[in-house]
Amino acid sequence: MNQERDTAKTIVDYLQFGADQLDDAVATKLAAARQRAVSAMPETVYAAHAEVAHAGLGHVIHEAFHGRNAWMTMLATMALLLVVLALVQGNTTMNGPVEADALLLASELPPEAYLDKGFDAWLESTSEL
Amino acid sequence: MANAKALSDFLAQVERRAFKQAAYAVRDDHAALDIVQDAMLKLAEKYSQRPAEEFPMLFQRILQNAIRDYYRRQKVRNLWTTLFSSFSSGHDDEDEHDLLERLSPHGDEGHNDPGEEVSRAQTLGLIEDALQKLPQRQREAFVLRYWEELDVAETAAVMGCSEGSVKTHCSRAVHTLAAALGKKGIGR
Repeated sequence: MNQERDTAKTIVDYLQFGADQLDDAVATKLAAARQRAVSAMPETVYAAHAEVAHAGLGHVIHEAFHGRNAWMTMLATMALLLVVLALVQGNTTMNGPVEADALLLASELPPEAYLDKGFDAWLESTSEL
Repeated sequence: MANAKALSDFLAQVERRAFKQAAYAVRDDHAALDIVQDAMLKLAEKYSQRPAEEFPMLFQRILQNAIRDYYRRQKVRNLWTTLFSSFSSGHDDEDEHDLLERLSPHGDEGHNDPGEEVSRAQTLGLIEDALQKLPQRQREAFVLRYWEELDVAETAAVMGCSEGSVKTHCSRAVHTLAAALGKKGIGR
């Protein structure tokens, strides 16, 4: 068995010598064929490179939420969400009076007219005339 | 998943052997080149998304199928040629092999003794001739197993036969080649 393997190896060494001595024209054609084949790869394979390029960011995010310090990340995220919520809420409540003031100032009627209970009745009686 | 560089590197590594392998099988350099080109293209188009470790087996399977397809086409062509023409297409290239033509003037071992180079080229010529004369399955098994260094199971998978058959084909091929070389006085 070993002798068979040795004989095979000797023969293969000669064959490899022949392949290494290949005619330049054939070698050039083979190289061109290789280029054509590589450029014929489906685009999805090229897209995979982009995925690999973004794998760094993906890895960081994955580690943050699934690694050893995941609970700290979760806490920090919740705190951040609370802060954002509070800011949004504060903005809305502060904007309420401002908008009412702007409406009153821009109105044709004086602000007292809205507080006068008889004003609506007077307005209706005058519109009937 | 393999990328363009992995595929290119793999093809660069195997293209010369693949060409020689096809040339031994079909005995026509132009046809061998076409076969290798088709095999490369098919690997790139259909299997380039597979892991690079699978390339050797996939490529060999594609290459062997391409060689078999060539045989089938040749058989049909020869049949029609025999029927409609008295001129046989034959294998003209077979007689054109000149041992000295195999010597490269720009070989990377150019510093060697020219006599040694000639002797080496002659031995290579004898081996190549003997290899071409082997039955197709024996040649296939020998090349896959010993030149492409696939293991028995991989060779069997590529050839579509049992591991036992691979061992038998390989053993017979080695003995036939050794005997052919022995007849020419090149004993190992």
